[in-house]
Amino acid sequence: MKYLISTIALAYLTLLPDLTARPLAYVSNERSNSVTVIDTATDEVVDTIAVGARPRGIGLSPDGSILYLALGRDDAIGVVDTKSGKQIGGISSGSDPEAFSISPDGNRLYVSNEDANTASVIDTQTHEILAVIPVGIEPEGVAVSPDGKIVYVTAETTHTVSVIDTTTLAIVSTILVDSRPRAAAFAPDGKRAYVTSEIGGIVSVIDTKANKVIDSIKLEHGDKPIKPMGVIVSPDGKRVYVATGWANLVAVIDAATNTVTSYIPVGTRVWGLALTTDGKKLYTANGVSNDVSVIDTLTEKVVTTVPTGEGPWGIAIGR
Amino acid sequence: MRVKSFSFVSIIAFLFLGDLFVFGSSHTPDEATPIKIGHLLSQKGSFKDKREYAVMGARLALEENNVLAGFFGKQFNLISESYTHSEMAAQKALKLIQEDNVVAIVGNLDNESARLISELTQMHKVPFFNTASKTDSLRGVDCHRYTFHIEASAAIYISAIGNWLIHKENLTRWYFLTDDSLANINIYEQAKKFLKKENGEEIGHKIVSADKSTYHSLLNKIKRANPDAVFVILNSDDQINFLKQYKKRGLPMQVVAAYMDIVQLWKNETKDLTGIWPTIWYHELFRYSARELNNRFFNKFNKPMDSAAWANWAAVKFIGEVVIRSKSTERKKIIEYLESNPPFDGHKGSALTFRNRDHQLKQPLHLVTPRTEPGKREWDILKVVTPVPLPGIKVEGNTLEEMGVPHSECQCQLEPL
Repeated sequence: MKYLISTIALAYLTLLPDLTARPLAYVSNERSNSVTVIDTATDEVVDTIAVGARPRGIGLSPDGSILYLALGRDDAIGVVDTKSGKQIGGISSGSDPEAFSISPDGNRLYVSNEDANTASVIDTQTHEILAVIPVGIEPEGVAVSPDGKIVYVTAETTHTVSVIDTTTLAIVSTILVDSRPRAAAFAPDGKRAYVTSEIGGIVSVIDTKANKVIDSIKLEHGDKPIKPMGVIVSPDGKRVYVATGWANLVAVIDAATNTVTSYIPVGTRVWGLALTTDGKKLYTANGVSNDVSVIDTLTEKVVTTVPTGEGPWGIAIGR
Repeated sequence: MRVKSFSFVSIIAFLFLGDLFVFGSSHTPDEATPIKIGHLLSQKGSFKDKREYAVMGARLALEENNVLAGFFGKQFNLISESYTHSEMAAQKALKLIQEDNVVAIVGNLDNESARLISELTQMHKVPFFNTASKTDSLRGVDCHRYTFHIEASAAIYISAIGNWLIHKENLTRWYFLTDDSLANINIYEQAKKFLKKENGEEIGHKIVSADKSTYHSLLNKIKRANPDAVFVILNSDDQINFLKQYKKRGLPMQVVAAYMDIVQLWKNETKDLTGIWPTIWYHELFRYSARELNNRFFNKFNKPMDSAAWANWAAVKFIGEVVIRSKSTERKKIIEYLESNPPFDGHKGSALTFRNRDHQLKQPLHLVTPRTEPGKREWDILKVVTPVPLPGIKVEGNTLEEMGVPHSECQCQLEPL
């Protein structure tokens, strides 16, 4: 589906209150087709934005002015103006987009196309598709390195991570990880990447220079099967946080020792994760309890729970 | 499936003859040589119809394996062979081992041939993946170190439906209906044993001849016996015929089957069918990543993925992953790797591993029943009742590890490698 930006709408939208003045958390709600906006200072809902059908993957432009959403049932990446809190357009993406990542300069979107076994590279200014790159089967998670030079795309059926050089837009390496890789995240210095494997119950630690798995961290918690899903690294690179789906826990990994140091109970079916820029608060999207758990990363306790729309999936936090 | 008279001595002699030429040979292809997987397919009886689905499942897995293998400079080939009798199955298996030098054999085989090929592959130390035979002896007294079972055993199917009847529905008084084939009598014996263990009561047992066209008087008997549940163990066509007549008669007792061949169901008019039975796969499963696999299959073949397609897909897929992950085509290493319990993704939402004591794949099943409303497509004739193991029911035998023959009764003694 193609979206057109209406100049009349834009003119109108500029008159609306500015919601970007403080760090906001945006939560995609896949079943209510909305985005819940939470003020991270007060942890109160300040807005709910109506968006296209089945929003899941979510990301902010570096300046925080544009919110992108993977709209699974619209076959598009939705474009939301964060100042006005309105969806102003969209970018055709191929069928059922689920996950994407934004380049550090904000000029490109890297999108996984699950049905087509490809990753698309989209120019955020022109909305032109710059490249369609074959990757593994059932591509899912996408992560751009902090320097923007490489992109990781996980593929669930081939259990691989395709490493894309963003200059040549070619695959430079393919890394075999554990069974059914979902999400990937880079450490702030870009030297390590962490890939969650749902069926394997593993977080693979990758040396990004060598493109090799250097450690595999097994997640185990009592008799509950642990399926690692979303993953994020703290701004100082010392902690890795892993969402565990139906285990309703966030695993905390010490990045120096690659060991799980604790599990934090959160809401039901935890998926997407986001940290405030100072790393002091972690937000978890709990897809079945329809809320967000807010965790104090120092005490590793949930300090509050914020209600959302139905089926919260992903979270993005502005600067 | 019928068990016919069969000269096992002649087959064993044949195996040893083959053995003179290749026993002890190792499989050491060079880097550039495609890695071959053998696919042995029965064309006996109802297997003629299943063959097509088994082939499609294996082809999809081959394609997926080659995407993975391509990243690492490897390639897989699938060498398919069909047979119409067990002696021929053995010949074809030897050809796959000796001439094609396959890394493993996937067998969509009848019970009799599966037992033979399990023996043969053990002698030649070639991994064998059983995708069709449910017979428990292959996981018991006749088990072998080099044989792995993707298809669930008869005892697992019985546990699946039996636990639902007893622990979910509280239906403990059963009436059994079987035909006179040895295979189905064995299943009846297993089901009876299960019922006794669960303190249930056998209200009646009727053996009918195969291809019986009318069950009128039998339905009267069942009505008079008034069981909680009727357990049907017939061949597919007879089972479908009985379940139609059962529905038409309108008896209120729950009727169940140990399993059902959906390919046969697709060939029949099913709107007047009743009953509940377990299956290892159904093309309308969508949770976890089942939808993605079902879509890939349908998009490729314009046909739905049935249990045979899934089992053959899984076998070929797992072999490919073992070779790539273990970085070896050495058959002994493949067995060691499989026995190390690597988690396979069968698109069932949990890690699938082989049970160490009998090499049975531990996998969730689903209980299904005919739809009362028509589905979107001609194949959409069933709906899911529940996954198995049954959620929220904590009883012995309702876990992936303990479904089927209990550990304490397992007679499997695997040979040294």
